[in-house]
Amino acid sequence: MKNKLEAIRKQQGLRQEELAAALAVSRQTISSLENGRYNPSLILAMKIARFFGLTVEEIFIYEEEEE
Amino acid sequence: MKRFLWAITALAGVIAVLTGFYVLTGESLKMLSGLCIGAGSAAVGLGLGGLIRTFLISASEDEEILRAKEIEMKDERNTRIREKAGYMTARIMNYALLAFVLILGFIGADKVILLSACALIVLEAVLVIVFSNYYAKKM
Repeated sequence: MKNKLEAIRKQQGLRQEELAAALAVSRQTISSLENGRYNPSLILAMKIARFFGLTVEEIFIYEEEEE
Repeated sequence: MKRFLWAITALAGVIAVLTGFYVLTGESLKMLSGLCIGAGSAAVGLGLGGLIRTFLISASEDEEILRAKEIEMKDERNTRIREKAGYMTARIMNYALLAFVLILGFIGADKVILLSACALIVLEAVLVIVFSNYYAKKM
C-alpha cells in the first residue's frame, strides 16, 4: 500500500522521531511506513490520520491490484 | 530509595554466599549450601549492577529509557515481527522434530525416548487445534 506519509510529515516540519513519539511507536515503524515496507494496522492508520487532521484515504492509497 | 533496595539486595546476596560457604558446611547440607551460594551470587550481581546503574543514570534519564523501552515493546511493527519470527520458528521446529523422530527410529533408540518425541509432535498438534479454536472464538 502506497502512502503520502513522508510528504505530509515533511510538510508539517516534523522529524521521524517526533512523529514516532507523538504516535507512541518506534522511529523504525515510521521509517518502514514511509518506505512502504510495512502496512499499518487500522488503529495506527486512524491515529496517523487523526494526528494530521486528515482522512485515512488522504494519507494511504489502496490499489486493488495489490491483493 | 532505589539505591537502598539495590544495596539491600547486594547485602542479602553477600550474606547468602557467606552462609553457603561457612554455615551450611555439613555433607547433608551440600545441596542447600550450593543453592545459597548460587542464589546469593545472583543477588550480589543484580544488586551491584543496579547500584552502579543508579550512579551512572539519573532518575529522569532512567524514566526516559523505560518509556522508550515500553514503546519498543508495544510497538505494533515489533509485535508483528515477533509473531512472524515465532511462527516461522515453530514451523521449522516442527520439521526438525519430525526429522528427529525419524532419526531416533533409524538408530533404534529406546522406545521411551521415541515415544516421548512422538508425544511432543502430538502435543504440538493438540495445541494448534486448541489455540485455533480459542482465537477463532476471540477474533
